[in-house]
Amino acid sequence: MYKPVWMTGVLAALVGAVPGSAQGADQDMFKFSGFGTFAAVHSSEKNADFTTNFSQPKGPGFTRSTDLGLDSRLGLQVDLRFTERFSAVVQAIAERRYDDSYDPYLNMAHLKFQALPGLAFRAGRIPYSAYLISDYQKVGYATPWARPPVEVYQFNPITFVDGVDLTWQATAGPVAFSGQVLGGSTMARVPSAAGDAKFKGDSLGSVSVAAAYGSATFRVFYLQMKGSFDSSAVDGPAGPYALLRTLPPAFGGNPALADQYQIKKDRITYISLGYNYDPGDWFVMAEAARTGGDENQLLHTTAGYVTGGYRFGAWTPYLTAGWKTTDSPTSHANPIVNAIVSGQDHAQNSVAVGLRWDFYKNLAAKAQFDRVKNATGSYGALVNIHPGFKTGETYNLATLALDFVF
Amino acid sequence: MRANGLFGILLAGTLGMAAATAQAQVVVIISTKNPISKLTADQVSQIFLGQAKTFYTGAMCEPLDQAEGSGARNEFYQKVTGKNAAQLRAHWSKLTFSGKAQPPQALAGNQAVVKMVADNPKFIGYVDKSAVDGSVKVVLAP
Repeated sequence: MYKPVWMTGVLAALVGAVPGSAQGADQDMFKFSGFGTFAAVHSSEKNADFTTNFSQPKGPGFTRSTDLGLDSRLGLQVDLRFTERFSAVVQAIAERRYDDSYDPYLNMAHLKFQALPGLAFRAGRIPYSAYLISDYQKVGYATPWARPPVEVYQFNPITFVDGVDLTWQATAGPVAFSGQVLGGSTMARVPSAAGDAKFKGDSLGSVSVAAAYGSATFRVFYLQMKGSFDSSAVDGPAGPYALLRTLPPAFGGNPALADQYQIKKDRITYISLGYNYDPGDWFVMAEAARTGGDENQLLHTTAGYVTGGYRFGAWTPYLTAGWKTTDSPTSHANPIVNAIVSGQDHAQNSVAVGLRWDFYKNLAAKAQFDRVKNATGSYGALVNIHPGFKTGETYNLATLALDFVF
Repeated sequence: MRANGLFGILLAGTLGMAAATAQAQVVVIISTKNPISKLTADQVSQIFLGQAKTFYTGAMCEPLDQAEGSGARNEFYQKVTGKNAAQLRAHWSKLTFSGKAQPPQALAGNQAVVKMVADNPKFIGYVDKSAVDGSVKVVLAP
């Protein structure tokens, strides 16, 4: 309970720091808002758990066939406006985390200085937006689906960067441009059977540019960072890298391979292209993303999806097709390296059909059915692999979700 | 948008003049102190959706909304942005919860919008045509 108490303290301090709201200013000095989702997800795969990102230790499937925790979350946000130019925002989210707790964490906490009407600087914890909807991917109400397409959105457990950024907006005739240049570092804890495990991204820099023309938006993004995977089990004396460094060559020892495969300050790059067309009655969205870099065992993946829907009043049926391929090696002649890289293939493709119903102000209900096919030799989006699991097979997901904002 | 348009035509056809007079006409206004004389629907849409923070002249601008659920608001957004009330809430959820922007402040009624717009050239609002007086000018009649 340490974290929730601390979180409440931060929010209370922020609330207490503001003497009152709307003191004749143009806009409220203090604004409290929030978002959330209650969702039930059923999986037909009995020998492994489906997850929506790699920081979750379990999901529907082996652990239990229907899971209420996978896509459910609550987010609370405080916006503060000090002057015309200075503002701040703090956002805390409670959802299933790496340790199977629901302890809230800070997803945003930054100061913003609006230097010019279309130019702002921010410092602190800033949303990370590798993909089209990354910076609001936790807000179910703001997206058409029960969850963002896993092929693109699952691999990356990071949702924020601690650093500084510059955002700009400008129009050129009918085209509205926006961009972001961001620098900082990031960290995401991931499940670990023993001890701590986290992914760290240092010396992180990214740039994005989006252009909106009428109903169409096009976005490009590039990110580079020095990635490290720090795990007390994997990096420890009984871990594979210690074995590679200490065992005699006859038993697989090879210190050069340890240096090559251990992920410590290795360059990792993300590139994505996104397109959205939304004239009102219908929408299409498509994204392609590539993860690459110098490290040798995290996935080098190429992924994408195409989605579209039609709005019949409050009802919006939609269809999504996604794919993901891996080109990192998943086997190696050295038995220790082979043990590290085997089972790291996450190639899959899927088709989802769903229906969103905007049945009441600030509330949306969704039903979605996914048919997912793992590639041969791939675990796809599944974790907790148990005996009896076969790669290359198909499983189904059925989801009911209720999204709200306030 | 198309569905509403069709509905409007059917309604007008059925009820004749009654429907025509019940149909309010919303217009976009700025202060007479603002030198701009005309804006396109694209420009107004960019401003009200948070994509543009200035007028095309480079002068700072700030949009003013009417209350959620009001006829003027629904008509304005449907005509200018093609978005209904639920789509608009989803749009602002994206910008709010990613820390990018806050929705425009909402005022109660045409008179409040006219009064605030008249005083300051940075403001832009939409009101029923009948509420326009000499203190503001119409830059778009969508």
